Amino acid sequence: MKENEAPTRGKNNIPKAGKTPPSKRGMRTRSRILEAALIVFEREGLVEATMQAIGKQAGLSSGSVYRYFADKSEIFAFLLGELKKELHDEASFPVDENGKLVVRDAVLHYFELYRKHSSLYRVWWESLEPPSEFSEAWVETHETYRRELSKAFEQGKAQGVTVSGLDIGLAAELAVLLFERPTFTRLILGWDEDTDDDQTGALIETLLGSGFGPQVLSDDGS
Amino acid sequence: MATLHTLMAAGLECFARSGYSRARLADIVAEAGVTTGALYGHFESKSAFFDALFQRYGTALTDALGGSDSLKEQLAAWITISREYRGVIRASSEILQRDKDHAAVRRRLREAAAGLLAWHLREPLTQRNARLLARMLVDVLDQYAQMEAVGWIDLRDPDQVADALSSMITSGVYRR
Repeated sequence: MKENEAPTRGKNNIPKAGKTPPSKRGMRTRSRILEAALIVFEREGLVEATMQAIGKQAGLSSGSVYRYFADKSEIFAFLLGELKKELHDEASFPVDENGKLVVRDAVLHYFELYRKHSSLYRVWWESLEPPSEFSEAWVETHETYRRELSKAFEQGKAQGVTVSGLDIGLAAELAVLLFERPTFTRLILGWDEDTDDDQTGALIETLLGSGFGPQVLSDDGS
Repeated sequence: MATLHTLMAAGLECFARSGYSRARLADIVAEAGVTTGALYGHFESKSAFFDALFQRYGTALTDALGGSDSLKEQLAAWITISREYRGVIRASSEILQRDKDHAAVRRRLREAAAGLLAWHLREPLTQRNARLLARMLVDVLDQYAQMEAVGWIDLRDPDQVADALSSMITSGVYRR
């Protein structure tokens, strides 16, 4: 039984190769490298980015960059680890006293969170191919959201407020996509300049609320 | 023409297996059992070859959406066609962010598809909101298809997904 295993530690993305000097100056250099790397990753893409370019951006030799990180993947893994942690801690799907998901707040908070980290988010999306630890991290985050939303819908079902015949697993899957994909198209691709968070949020709120009513699809013959 | 058809089928296969950048033209011609010259007779580059495949997908999709009698039918058709064009979906997702030309093509297809979905959306949705909702549906379907194409989610019956999505549109998740 997997559940009985002791929780493993130390698998977090603490760079191994870094003989990171614990000095204040060392920490400053380290965060300078991280900032520079993010700029280079966003500008050139993860594939094209080099340690040399990161060093140049940070005003350091590539030799000094190597003293902190073994390679660019390690830098990206560290940045992603931090982001993932924040996303897991911060993204929440609160339920009101009736057992219903508080959609608008969750959506707006989600947009805000991803906008704050849009540079890194952009590089992350780009790293989904070929499959790697980075795409796995993405799937894991997606799964976390799906589980949370499933839980919220289950609670609603227990309190008798969900529509009858709701396929909770599928509804939760679609709900995550409603959060994720408009964030991607608007934030990363820059589409839909004519829409704002409130309008997008309002539509999602209705879809995950009580819908637009049967007349909306009145020609569907259902 | 037989060669072209074989090449397209082989391309779909290779892109589905490896994504865009890792699929080599050499693999595609080997899969098709034709010579490299045969491919270059039709397309000048991998990117031209992929553009042609994407166009084929776009036409299949808009034809199916235009030929459906209801939104539910459109949603199910979307999933079915995306499965047939799995390789296109996977490769397109991979290059969407960096390749501005491809992004423009994809955006035009999104608008066309959203227009066809919005056609089935009635009052009380305003025309503008019907458009926004239709785009949102396209987005959800795009990502659903992408996740299927890469193998992150298990395949479901297209009708099941279409039912869930259209009942979300009319009735949401919670009772009124």
